[in-house]
Amino acid sequence: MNPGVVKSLSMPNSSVAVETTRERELGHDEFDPIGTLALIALYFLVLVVMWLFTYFVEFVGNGPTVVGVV
Amino acid sequence: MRIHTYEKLWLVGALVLIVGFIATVTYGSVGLGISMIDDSGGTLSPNAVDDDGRFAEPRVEQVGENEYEAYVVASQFIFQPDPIEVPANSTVTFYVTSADVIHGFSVVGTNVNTMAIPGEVARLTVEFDEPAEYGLICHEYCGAGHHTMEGQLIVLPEDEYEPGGNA
Ligand SMILES: [Cu+2]
Repeated sequence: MNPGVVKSLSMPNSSVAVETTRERELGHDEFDPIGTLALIALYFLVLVVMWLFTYFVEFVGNGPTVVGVV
Repeated sequence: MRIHTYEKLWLVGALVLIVGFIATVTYGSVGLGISMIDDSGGTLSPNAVDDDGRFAEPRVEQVGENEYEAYVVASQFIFQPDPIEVPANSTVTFYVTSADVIHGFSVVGTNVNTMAIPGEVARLTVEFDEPAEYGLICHEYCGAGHHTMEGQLIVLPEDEYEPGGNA
């Protein structure tokens, strides 16, 4: 193989980037991972729907059920 | 401490979920009367199930106007009595025990199931509103014939039910 290629692989660009100066600074509230938020909101919704389904449809709707005095 | 808006959202969401879970289970317990099977059925000598008045003769017994008690013995590889017959619109309390090894008592397609443990009596109360025929299976591995261990639970229309009709 070309020795030049091996050399560039062992020294990735990131190690170079660390030494360069910051391009822009991000404030606390400027950090805005809207994509992550949307994904987690979706997961959350799936979780809520699954909970309601397993409890109210699959469990409660699947009577008779063991009952008793609380 | 400054908390990011999204983090606040997450905290609130997670809290709502926990409160929601607890609220649902509380509603099931208080609102719907769903109960867990515990050790309130008591114990008996596992070697002398036949000497116990309740289990010497496995049966269904009427104890109130619409209240029945079913004494069920599971053993390798049958349930007694079989079939278990109860009328519709009744409240049945099952007392289930085992004469040999651990068995399961599962009314197929419903939420009614328990373990049948030698020396222990599982006590479970169930309301049957509609006539139906349920399969009854053992769902705890109990030996070579486990896969054949089954019975029947028949909820008869009220006018067809004969008390003491169980063999
Ligand atoms: Cu079994």
